Amino acid sequence: MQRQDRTARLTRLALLSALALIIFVVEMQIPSPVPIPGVKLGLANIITVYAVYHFSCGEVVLIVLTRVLLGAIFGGNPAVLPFSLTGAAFCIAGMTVLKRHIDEKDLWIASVFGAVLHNLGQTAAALIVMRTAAVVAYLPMLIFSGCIAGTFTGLAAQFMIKKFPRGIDRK
Amino acid sequence: MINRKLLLSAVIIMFIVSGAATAYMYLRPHGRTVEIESGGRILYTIDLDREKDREIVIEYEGRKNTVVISSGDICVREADCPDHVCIRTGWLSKAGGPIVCLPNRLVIRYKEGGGLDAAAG
Repeated sequence: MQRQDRTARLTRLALLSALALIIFVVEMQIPSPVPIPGVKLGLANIITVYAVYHFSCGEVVLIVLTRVLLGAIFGGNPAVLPFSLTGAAFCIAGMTVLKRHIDEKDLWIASVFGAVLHNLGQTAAALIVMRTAAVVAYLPMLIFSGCIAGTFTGLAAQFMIKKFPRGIDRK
Repeated sequence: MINRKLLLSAVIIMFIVSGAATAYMYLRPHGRTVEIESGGRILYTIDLDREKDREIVIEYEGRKNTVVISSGDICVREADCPDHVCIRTGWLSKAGGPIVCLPNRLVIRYKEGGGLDAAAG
């Protein structure tokens, strides 16, 4: 790849990371309607699902890692990092496989699976960190909320792609 | 490409099954004995029918949660974690699941009669 291309690519990654971080910080100001650990809309994942379909797996990892780490610093809640990171890993791994089988027109379906996988990863991390099976009691609620949140963020990403059909990953 | 219909029905089934399981978690019967766990260890086992109203302060790595027992119910009143999810969960009797404070590794839940299978639903 030419040097200019690499710089352009880096800039796009930085732009998406910044966008995701802004969405994350804004969403943090909205109080969650259900006080269940791990339940949220996860609007920043609009960027994640977009990136999964437009960038390589490694680049998606970079975007999400940057957002999660900086988000923990800005949010002042580094104690929940193990849960977000495991969730993100499950989500990216699953969606990278699914994008080969799900057309971009049906991106929201991939997004639902991504959200549910994210919540499964969170619960797995909670099982290990909290050393109690009690957290499994929240799994049905987390899967249920993952279906709703995933549909929402997926559709939001689809609207974004429709609005900017050329994307920001192409010249 | 996996069949679109197959994927759609998988999503719908996931939605319905998890929704039903959630409803079950709220409605299922439970005992009156409560366990308070911190960092994976059970610190207190409390029979809510017999326990007098009182406050318990639980510390984990220097961070504190104040647990309140009142009129046979239990909740977290104060916590020095950033998100306060445990406080907003409210009384355990209405929570539909355990009270959990992830940052401070605290879990308050009804003691299971039938082992872990009941919790897994």
